[in-house]
Amino acid sequence: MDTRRRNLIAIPAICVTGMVLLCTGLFWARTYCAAQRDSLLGRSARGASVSPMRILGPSRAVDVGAASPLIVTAEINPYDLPQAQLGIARYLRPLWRRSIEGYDRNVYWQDVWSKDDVLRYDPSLGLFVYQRIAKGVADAEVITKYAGPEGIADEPDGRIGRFVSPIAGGIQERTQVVYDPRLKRFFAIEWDAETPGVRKGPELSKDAVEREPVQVGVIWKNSNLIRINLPSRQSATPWRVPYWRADHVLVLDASGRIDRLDLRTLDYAGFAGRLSSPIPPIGDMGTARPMDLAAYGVCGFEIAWDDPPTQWGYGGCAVASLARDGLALRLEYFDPNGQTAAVGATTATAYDDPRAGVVRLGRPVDSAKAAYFLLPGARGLTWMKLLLENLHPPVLVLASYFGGPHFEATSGYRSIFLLPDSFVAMVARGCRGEEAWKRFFWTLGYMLPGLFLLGLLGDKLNREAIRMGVPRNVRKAWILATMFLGLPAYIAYRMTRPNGSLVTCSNCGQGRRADQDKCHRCCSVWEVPELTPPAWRVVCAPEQDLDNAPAPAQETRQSA
Amino acid sequence: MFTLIRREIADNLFYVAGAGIVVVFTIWLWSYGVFWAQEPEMTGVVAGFVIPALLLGYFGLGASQMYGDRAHKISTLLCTLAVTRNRIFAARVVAGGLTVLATILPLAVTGLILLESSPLFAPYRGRIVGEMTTTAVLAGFACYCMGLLSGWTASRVWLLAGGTVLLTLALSIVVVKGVGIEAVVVLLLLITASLVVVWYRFVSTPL
Repeated sequence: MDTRRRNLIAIPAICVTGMVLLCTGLFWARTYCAAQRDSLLGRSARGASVSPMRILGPSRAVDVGAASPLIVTAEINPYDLPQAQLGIARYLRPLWRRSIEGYDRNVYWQDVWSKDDVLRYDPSLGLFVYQRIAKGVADAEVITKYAGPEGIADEPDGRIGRFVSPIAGGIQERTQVVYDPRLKRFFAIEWDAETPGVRKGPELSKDAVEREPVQVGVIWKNSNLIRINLPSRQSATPWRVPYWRADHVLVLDASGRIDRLDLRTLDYAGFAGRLSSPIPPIGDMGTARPMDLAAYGVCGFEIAWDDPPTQWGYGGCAVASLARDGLALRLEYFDPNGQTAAVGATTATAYDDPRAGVVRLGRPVDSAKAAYFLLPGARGLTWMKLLLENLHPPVLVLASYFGGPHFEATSGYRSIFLLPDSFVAMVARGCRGEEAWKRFFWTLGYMLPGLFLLGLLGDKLNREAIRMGVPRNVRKAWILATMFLGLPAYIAYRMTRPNGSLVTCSNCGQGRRADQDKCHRCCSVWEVPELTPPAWRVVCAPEQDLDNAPAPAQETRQSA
Repeated sequence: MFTLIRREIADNLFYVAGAGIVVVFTIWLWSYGVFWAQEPEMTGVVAGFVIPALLLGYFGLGASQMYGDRAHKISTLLCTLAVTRNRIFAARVVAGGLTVLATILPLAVTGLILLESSPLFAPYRGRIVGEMTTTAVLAGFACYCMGLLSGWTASRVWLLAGGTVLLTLALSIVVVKGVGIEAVVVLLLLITASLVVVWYRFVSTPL
């Protein structure tokens, strides 16, 4: 294999190796930076609280509020960083905690100590399978039941139909609520009732049919990242949790909308609220779909509308949402009509002019903005983040910009090549109201240090390639590769560039390669000196007549 | 070719035998942990000491093969015989790959047997062991490749410093991506590319 072919194979390989190793190194540097930024936020900046007493009415709010105020608080878990959601932790956590629900999303419940007690969905049958050991039976008889849209049976039976990609909750009060996207209706499977069966809801109305439920019942995502703290309830207080003992459950839509589902009719009973987006450090509040948030939790309440409390009804829900970088949390309470009753968000106190040495209590600022720009040390970390992102291959940074709104929120904690939490991705998500050219301008601004560095590298590469006599087309290709792929391409050039010392060209006086026929600067050929033998000789003995002298072999024979 | 592979293994017997001893020790620890109800403690020991030792062994094998060659001009000597550098390199990689497989596969079989005793994960043991074995084999081979990459040098400082950095970066891919298809793809990419880089440097170096 000649050198040219070998180089053609080696150059992409060097680029790929360099890119994987560089991006992995930069990932850890960014993670360190994010963890440091997270530590800037004090305990007070990690929590938010709301007191939605006004939903009780002005007079009752005062009475009840004095006795036992309804205050809901939510906080970012200080002991579980979002950045710690690494792939290996996500994989091993269910195994470590002996929780198969986290390992197999088709398992809705399983007894830790028995493989027989399980509720799961079997995709091959299209049926839910509930299996448990019958109580009181001496030889531990295992009872298995299968549930489809048309009913429950002891055997998988075609008559009970089949679900296709159902969305289901766990069993609550002996009932499991299931939504089938193909059949466009809700089902309630009564497992432990005396007469187990499946109740079928009505076909959804036209506007409801457009919805795309993603969670039913318990609405949580990454529950270890946030905590919702509820006040301790006394017997006379007119509010209580949990809400799931009532006749309604909550349903989360892919758009972030939360609806109430009437368990008796299995139809939507009204708008309950929506996930809300915490304020990002750059740009405006973006969309608040489940995929846009690192964590969320929804907690429904029941409220007694009479005094003393006897008649309980739906009293609204508290929705806590955590931003993808884990620096901002928003807590919103929605009243029974789905209107916002109270809003809280994490804030940090920014101090005025800390360089002057005078600490004056300043105004509260959104926690994410404070952690990026205002708290002591925040700007240094922000600059470091910007520089680290600019060392990334530009083509990947651009891909992060275009993919910005489509990345799942926690994917940034495990993304080596793309940068879902980078500044350019934030621009793509947060500046959607701006015109496209303005957004692109902002993106270029955030890429400027990197482009400057690559410009310098390209210039250095060009000068060196000219010195070494690399052809113009090849030089252009290397410069373009460096501009697009960044450091890995430059490293590949350094490893495969032509080596060897230069000799002085007798025509132009500059260095030229000794292994090429023509000088790569002036194209002059080698000046081959005329090889005429000199007329003189260097001798050490008196000159002899060599023509008549005997051959050495003959001499030897004669002497013998 | 077989002679070359045998010679590679014989030359680096310290690492191959060391990895074998670590594997036997690991299997004993696991079995002890499961049958004598010391599972969490034993898992901690395996995760904390045994796995890093094994991965370090793979790295050492790769580094030893290349550094030994560079220092003692082994391939230069072999090239005077009827052997090409491509064959020498292939024999080296095959010896490394066989070592990785011969040490990970017994662990996988042990895991498969031991998971049978856990009723919770029994239905998933094939999947769990399959995913973990694939990722572990590729991670081990990636460590070996990093050894090859950093071993082709005459400087011990570069071997130690560069090797440590490369090994850390390669292993952290598994930490970041976890066990599964994403980690497998990235590791395959890294292994293929780094093998080509090592091959290029190996065959391009003048005798």
